[in-house]
Amino acid sequence: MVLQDTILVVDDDPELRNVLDEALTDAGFEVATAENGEKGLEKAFEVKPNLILLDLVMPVMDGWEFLERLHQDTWGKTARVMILTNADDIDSLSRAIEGRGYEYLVKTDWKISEVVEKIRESLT
Amino acid sequence: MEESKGNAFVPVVGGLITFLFFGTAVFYSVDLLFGEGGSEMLHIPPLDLTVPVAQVFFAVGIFTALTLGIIVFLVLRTKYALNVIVDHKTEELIKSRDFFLRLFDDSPVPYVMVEPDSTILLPNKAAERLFGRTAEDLRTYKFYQMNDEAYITESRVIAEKFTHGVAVSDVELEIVRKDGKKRWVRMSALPFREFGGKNKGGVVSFLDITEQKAIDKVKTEFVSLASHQLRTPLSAMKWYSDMVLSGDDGELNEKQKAHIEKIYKGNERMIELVNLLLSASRLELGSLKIDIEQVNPVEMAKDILEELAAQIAQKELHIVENYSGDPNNYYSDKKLLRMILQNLLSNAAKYTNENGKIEIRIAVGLEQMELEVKDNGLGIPEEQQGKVFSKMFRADNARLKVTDGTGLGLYIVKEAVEALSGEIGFTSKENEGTIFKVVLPNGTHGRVATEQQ
Repeated sequence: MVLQDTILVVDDDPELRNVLDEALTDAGFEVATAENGEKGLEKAFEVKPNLILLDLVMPVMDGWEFLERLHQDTWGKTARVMILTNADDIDSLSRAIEGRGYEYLVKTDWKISEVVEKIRESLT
Repeated sequence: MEESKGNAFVPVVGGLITFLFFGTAVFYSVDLLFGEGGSEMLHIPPLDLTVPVAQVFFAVGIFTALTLGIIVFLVLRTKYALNVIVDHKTEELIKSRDFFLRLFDDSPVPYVMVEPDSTILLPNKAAERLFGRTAEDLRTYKFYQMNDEAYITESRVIAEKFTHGVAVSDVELEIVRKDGKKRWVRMSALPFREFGGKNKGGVVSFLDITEQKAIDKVKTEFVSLASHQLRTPLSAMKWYSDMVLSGDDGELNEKQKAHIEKIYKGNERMIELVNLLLSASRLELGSLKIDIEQVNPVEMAKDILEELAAQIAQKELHIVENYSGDPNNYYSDKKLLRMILQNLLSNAAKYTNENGKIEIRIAVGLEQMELEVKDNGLGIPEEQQGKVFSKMFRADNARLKVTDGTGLGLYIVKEAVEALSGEIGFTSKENEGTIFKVVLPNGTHGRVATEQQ
């Protein structure tokens, strides 16, 4: 792989950020991380990742607001987002997805290897 | 006409004769008492009681006078007694009317009488308090105008129902008080008819459920928060142990691998429990929004079987699949349908012995879908079959052989089936197996789509 795909992990839990970082790096991705929506937006515009792995419930700026802001940007509008969350009630999810076709995964439903696999699938 | 003439003749003539006898008797009595002054004055012979005719006249006269006196006395007395009774009964009626009016007016339950055209007629005091308006004020409104804008159409339909003979029960609406504050109410209404059947509209009772709604909201928020908070550490455990097991951090020896696997499995059980508890709470709170959309039940069943593949392979279970109808023409709520299929299939896998058989049958029709999950597993003891759908129930034989059940699965299935207006039943025999049968309606969208074709 000459040009590695970059993944931005936006999650407030340090352990989960860490494990995703490790697993994705091991899988050969370039990984950037952010601990909330606000930092995530800065990083996103700076790095322009190939995929954003987004948690929803976060302090400072949550995932919903992150998506709103992201959508106001020309690049952001086309950015690939995968929602990786533990808030699985349909209302929260449909608010986040709003017909934008984002894929979402409930964290506890998937093994880390499966999450990596899903990311790889969505990037090819 | 002749008859009425004859009837008038008798009392008139009888009265005249009576008056003649009575008058003569009175006259002569007075005459006798005052020394025959009267007869002298009128130049008529005084009463001579030795003459038989005079005796007869006098006796009949006296008798008539006495009888008349008695009759008058009796009539007057009866009239008086009747008056007393009428007064008494009237008073009783007024009292009873006041009693019922007070009962209505002072009842702690808000009541409103509504006219056939939906105009509010008679609110009681509790209703005045609930709406924050006086009775006079309330009477200038129609029933549905009391509701929040979002509920006006719905409450109009409801008012139309109960003012025209159809009872309505337990409808939740949001009303707006005069001060602009909103209250949640649960209303029931009965049509009201006069004796003889004339439609007088309806009577509505309200239950203020604002506090209850607020508590439900807190509960729902708690469930959402708990789902997130509980799952975060579980995700970390799952992912880290998964990484260790996959050998990313170096090869493990057999013992290390076995121990980490135990941690992984324990964590999985915890995840399953959290998921079940969340589903149960959401079903109980009614906070699951039902979205009827196109869903392929066969594909869903296959996905779930895939998830259970490890368990099925380990126990060498034989799976028989039998699908009929057009699975693409089925409309239901995905989350609820998944809860039903997932719990029934995982139960079948859990409670069937090694080399056992699980049969799944799905028949999709235009009106409904039939789902059947049959296993030849432990079965449910007959004496415990009545409790199968109770929360936290686990059959004795299942408790002994399978330790990781939660007793929530079938409870969730039942709740989910009911939320979809479906039906569930089962037949089971201990040590022979169980068949669960579920019938779920094919959602309205399905019918509309079919009709358009």
